[in-house]
Amino acid sequence: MKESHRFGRIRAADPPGKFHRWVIVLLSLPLIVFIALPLAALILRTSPSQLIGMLATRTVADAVLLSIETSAATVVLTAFLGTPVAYLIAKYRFAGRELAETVMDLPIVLPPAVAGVALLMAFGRSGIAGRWLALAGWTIPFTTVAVIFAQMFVAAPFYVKSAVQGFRAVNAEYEQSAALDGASSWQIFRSVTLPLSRTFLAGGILMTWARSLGEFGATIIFAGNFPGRTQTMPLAIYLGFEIDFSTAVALAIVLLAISAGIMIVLRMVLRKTSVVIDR
Amino acid sequence: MHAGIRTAACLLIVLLAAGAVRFQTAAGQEQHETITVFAAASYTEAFTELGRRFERSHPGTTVVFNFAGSQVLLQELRHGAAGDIFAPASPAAMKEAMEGGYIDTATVFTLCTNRLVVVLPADNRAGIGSLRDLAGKNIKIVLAQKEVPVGAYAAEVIAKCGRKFGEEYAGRVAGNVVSYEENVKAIVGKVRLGEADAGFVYQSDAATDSLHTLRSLEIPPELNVTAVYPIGMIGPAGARTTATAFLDFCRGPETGKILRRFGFLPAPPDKGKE
Repeated sequence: MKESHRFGRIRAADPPGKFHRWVIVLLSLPLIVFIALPLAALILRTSPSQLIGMLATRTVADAVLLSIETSAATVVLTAFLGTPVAYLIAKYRFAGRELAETVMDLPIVLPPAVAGVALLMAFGRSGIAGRWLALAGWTIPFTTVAVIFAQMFVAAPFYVKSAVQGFRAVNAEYEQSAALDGASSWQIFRSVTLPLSRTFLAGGILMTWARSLGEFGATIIFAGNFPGRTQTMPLAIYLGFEIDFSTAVALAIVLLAISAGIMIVLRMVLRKTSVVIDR
Repeated sequence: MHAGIRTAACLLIVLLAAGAVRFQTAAGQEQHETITVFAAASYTEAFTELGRRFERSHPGTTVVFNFAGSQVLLQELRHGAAGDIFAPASPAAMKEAMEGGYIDTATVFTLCTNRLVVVLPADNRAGIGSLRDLAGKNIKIVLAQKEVPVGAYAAEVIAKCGRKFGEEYAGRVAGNVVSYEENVKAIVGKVRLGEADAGFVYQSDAATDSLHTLRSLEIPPELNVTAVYPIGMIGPAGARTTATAFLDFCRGPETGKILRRFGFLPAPPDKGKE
């Protein structure tokens, strides 16, 4: 029964009684099967050789590369732009702080298609900000930049949310004692706050990454669909489903594999978090 | 724990109430018969009106529409979506559906035809005045994917223009394409917002633009194509009185009038019943 210790924060041994455990297993099965079956169906449908053949096709390779590039850009930008926001929300009291926090959360519940329309209204050629950008010669819709915009809009809030939690979880005494020792604000942030919240930050980054890899609705509306330029994996999967089922399935498996990789890393990071908290 | 139980109880009550409302609505419509029509996206406005008229003249019926690109509808049929009428925007889609055995072949006929136009945003900031201008520099054109009927038709028109305007034309126009959308209404949307400078759509899409948010650029007949719109019953045929009544209604003069009002053209007379 050593295994049971490895899951999350449940430290105690099983609750007493064998019967109990089997009841819980039985009650858990429906949802596990419900989630696992479609994922398994996806994989069982394609043979490995088929999959490799598919990956070599231009459409699939383009979509995979574009997705990796854009989501990586989203993650880097989010880390740089999102960390100050999270720090501001977590550490300072100011009028409108709750409002700012709510606004940063909103894209999480907003249907992505709405996000796409909103982005057009803001950054489209005739949009509020877009018309000025257009005067300067920059048009965003239908470009790879638009893909990154769409991903950041829907995915960055996950990082900010997690980072806020992380910064709040850092015991203020540590920061204060560092200040007493003469550390500057930047030093405190870099050597105390950041390391102590790093697992939250890493978790947030991974959530943002996973979410931007899967982004579809906002992208197709704001960035359109052009192979190699704006056609990311989810777009190629959706549009491929209408045309060529096997391409769609191959891409879906790639997306699944990448997402699974991210999730596994995420779980490992979170396991570390619980250790830190226990100390 | 108590709070959790209370929340769960509240949720349960809300769900039950919603269910009760639904049940009541369903009970009120007990005599109703509902048919589901899978129709090409270009039909959106015309068929909505058609459905309203049909419901009025056939009390006790409800027409539900599933509007999407014909290729999407076809995929849905393949994967077992339940429907009564299939009205795609191309004979090819109908043919594939018939070959797949999803259609009661005896019921298929040509409902109407359509032609293409180029739509431009109301302000036409790119200053497009002719088909030739589509090959100009810095023009953003939105097409449908080639698997969408309107995308295939547009490719045909562009190829014809290329034969007339010179070899470079088709390549330049292709270079100006910024997005391949998945149905015709998505093209209209992007042109209407002014995000694209031009899009190839059906004449009916321009005609349904009652608010005049679009301009259109005619494509002369020799460069245009005729899109043929077949319609038929989704099989296997059973006791489908309402679906049959809907097809009969589609053959009638009232439907012809509605379709014409929305910019569709009549079916060629010799092919009216096939």
